[in-house]
Amino acid sequence: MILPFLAGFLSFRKAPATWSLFLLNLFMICFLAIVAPRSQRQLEELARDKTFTQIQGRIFAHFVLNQAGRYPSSYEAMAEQALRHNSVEKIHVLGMLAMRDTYFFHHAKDFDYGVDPVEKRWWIKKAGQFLNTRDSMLSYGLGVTENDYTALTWLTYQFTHSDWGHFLSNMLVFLIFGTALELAIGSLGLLVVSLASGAISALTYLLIDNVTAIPLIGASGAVSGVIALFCMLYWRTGVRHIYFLFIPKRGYLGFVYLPAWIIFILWVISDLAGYVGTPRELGGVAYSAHLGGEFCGVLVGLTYMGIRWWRLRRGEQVAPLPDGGPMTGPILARLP
Amino acid sequence: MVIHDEKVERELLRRAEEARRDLEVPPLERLASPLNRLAAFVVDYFVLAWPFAVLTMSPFKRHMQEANLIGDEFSMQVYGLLMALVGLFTLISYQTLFHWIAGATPGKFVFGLRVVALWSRDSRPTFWEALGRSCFWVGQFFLLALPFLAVMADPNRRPWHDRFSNTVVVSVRKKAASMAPNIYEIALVRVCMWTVAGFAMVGGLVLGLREYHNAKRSYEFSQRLGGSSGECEAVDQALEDWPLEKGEAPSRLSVAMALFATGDLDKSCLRAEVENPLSLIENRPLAYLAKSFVYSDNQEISDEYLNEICKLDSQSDECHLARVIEGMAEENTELVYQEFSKLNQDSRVYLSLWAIRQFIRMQDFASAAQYIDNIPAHSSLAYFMIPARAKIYWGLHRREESRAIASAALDLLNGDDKLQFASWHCFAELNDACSGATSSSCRVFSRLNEKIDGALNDFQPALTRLKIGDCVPEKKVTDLMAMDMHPDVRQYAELMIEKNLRDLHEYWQDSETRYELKDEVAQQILKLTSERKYIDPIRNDWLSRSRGLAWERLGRELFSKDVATKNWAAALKVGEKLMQFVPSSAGAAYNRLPASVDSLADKVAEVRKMLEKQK
Repeated sequence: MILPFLAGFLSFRKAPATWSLFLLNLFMICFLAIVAPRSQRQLEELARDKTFTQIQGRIFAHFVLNQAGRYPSSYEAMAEQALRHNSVEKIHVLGMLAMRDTYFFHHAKDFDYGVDPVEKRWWIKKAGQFLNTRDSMLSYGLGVTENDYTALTWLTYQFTHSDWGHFLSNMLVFLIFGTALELAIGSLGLLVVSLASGAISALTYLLIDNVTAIPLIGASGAVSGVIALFCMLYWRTGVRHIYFLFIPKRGYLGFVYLPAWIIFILWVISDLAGYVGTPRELGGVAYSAHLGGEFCGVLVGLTYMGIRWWRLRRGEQVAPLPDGGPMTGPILARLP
Repeated sequence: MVIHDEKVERELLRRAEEARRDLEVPPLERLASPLNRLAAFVVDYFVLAWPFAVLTMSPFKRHMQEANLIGDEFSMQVYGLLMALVGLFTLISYQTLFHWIAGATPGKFVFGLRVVALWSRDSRPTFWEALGRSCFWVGQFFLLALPFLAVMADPNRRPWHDRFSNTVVVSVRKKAASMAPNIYEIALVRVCMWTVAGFAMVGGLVLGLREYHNAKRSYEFSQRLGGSSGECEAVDQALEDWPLEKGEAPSRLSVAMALFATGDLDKSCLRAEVENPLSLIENRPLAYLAKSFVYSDNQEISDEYLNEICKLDSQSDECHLARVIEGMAEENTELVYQEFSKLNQDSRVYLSLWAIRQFIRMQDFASAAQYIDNIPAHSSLAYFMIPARAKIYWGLHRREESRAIASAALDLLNGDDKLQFASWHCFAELNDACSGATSSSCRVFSRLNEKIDGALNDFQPALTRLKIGDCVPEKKVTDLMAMDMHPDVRQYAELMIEKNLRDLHEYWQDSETRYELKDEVAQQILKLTSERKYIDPIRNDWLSRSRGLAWERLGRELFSKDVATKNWAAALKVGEKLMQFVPSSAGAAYNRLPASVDSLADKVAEVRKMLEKQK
């Protein structure tokens, strides 16, 4: 295990903006944990209702086969096989996939393709309940979806998390890098970068991903932007990491200094691998949003570096980036 | 005396020279310690190389998951293999290039380790040596990584990949270096090897059995999917020689419904048949009826289908059956009979089967008998019809015919079906008299009860076993309490053992008590008491109903009790009602009545005389 251990971490005084954003996120997840469970439970009950998923799967299969070119070939192949062999398992999978497709929900009820009218009528009623429950969920309203977003949701989605695991993983990384970045660019700078990265992430998600019914939520896009900018600013600087190599012995745990470009490359490659390796239909993590945030961070970093270089070329006095004392050091690990 | 063996001496000298050579290391270089090598491995493959390997494998992983979604096993395996190969290629390339160019991977650099040629000690391995080393390094993982233990056993700490490539891993840091393995390390390696060998043998056997079982299950599953139309084999087979219905060849759905009524077709097969588009076109009411059964677990949609049937055609047989189902759900017996009476007598096979099934459940055997002739003699229906006939004949007091058919049924049926039928027939025999415990159905039931695990978890077998315990002293009811039993029957058994009249009466009055148990409880009460405050409510309830073997048995007990307590008016009421439903030939069952009486009719006449005398 290895984690960055940077200056300013755990210090509210040194990084007030970072900690304020963290506390806002904490407030939101606590609030949603109190307000949202009933709707969440209703949605989960519907998702567990085998009759609903079976009927929906069947209707979705007919729908996919009648929407030439709109759906990937894997969907069409699955729909054809499901209907031909009357496969309960495939129909169930199609039923679950349909829940991620707003286009299907909006258009299927008007489409007549020989499906049993009684089934269709029942499904329309249940689908209506599903949509109403989903729309009434606060986390859905605060998230970003293809057919349903406003200027406000581009901000609110960054403070909404699906569960505590999601929240903790994002916030831990945000605190580590956000506090260090805030020392370098100030509280206002961090706020702008964080929110802008989040917005660009959402835009990237909408442009690239095809999931229309599942809202984008979470601070991952903002966090990715913060990390990217940090790495751009401290590209060759040794960044302190704390490590533990599962051997409880001197030399196998402690601190090591690695240049920031390593962090950046590993972070980007992980997201790229996740994006390429996950079919759209199955994804739970919006890797495209991460990549969008990283792009934003890189852009801001390059712009900043460009401005500094231009000013230096013109002979202006440019203050060096704060090295933060404990953050910097030789690149090679300092092992005892 | 010294024994001078030249051969032994030469061997010892050779070993000493080898040991000296092995231990000879240049100044400032030492062997890398196993912990440092492990730490370098963690840094290399869990921190640095992993994201690259995942990136190169990701396109294949995606295709594999997509293939899995559509059930394309072949593509899944191909992409899985490609993914594994690309991952391996990435790891081998990482190792080869770093060892060839720099003599160490980044992880080794962090911990001051170097891979050097064994004999020169100051040169890096060549490209081919680095490549061979990497390939062997990867290969060792396919042997559960056991060859890596050589770092703690080999004098130069060289596993197979180092031996193959003539390399050794040394530490450039004096303090972190290590010497040859000590005896504790060697002992640890030996223990590990033996333990792993043992687990590998057991694990291999278990995995092999599991794979065989999984393969067999997926083969059976793929067979069940049927032909390209996704329909059911059972219907295909039955259609081959299914007789004409109303002069026409029956539809697939009609045959499927018939098989479903007999329990020979499951819901998934029925669904497959009803999803055939032709089903909806040819006979929509029937298709909707089938769908209501398919969705029977979801009352809302099932009821919608039933409602829709009558909107399509309110005079169709399907509509009448839909109303029967509605009546049964509401326990509206009048509606049930009303709608059944509207069914055509020569209606289709599946309707007759449903009628027989429902009437047997309601214990109206006379009504069930009206439909027997509609059922063709078809092999698919035998498993249902033979036991059904046995029950109907029993209900019509044609005891000997019933026993003969029951024997045939017990030979034909298997498993749970056999247990259920044997328990029903044995219970019916015991209802007549305890001497029924020696009947063939009771003998078969007792044998199956002992053979099948959890046999008494079902209601009917548990009740039958309880009744045997009540009749046969050797098979005590108390013995049952130690067994797994249906909870309702267990509760009744506890009351039987305690013989507390008030508790029994409360249980009988409780609306939650199953009706099958109510009559049994009432019989127990009659055995224990003659008090009118207990007997009168039982009699009034009995008089308000008029069906069932247990009802008839209770009626006989009530009649006997009233005669014994000289309650002539009550006895007359019970007797006259019994006579309406019991054939006059059923004399044998009534031999428990007071002596010198041959038939119920005679006894009722005698009671009438006593009543008039009393007046």
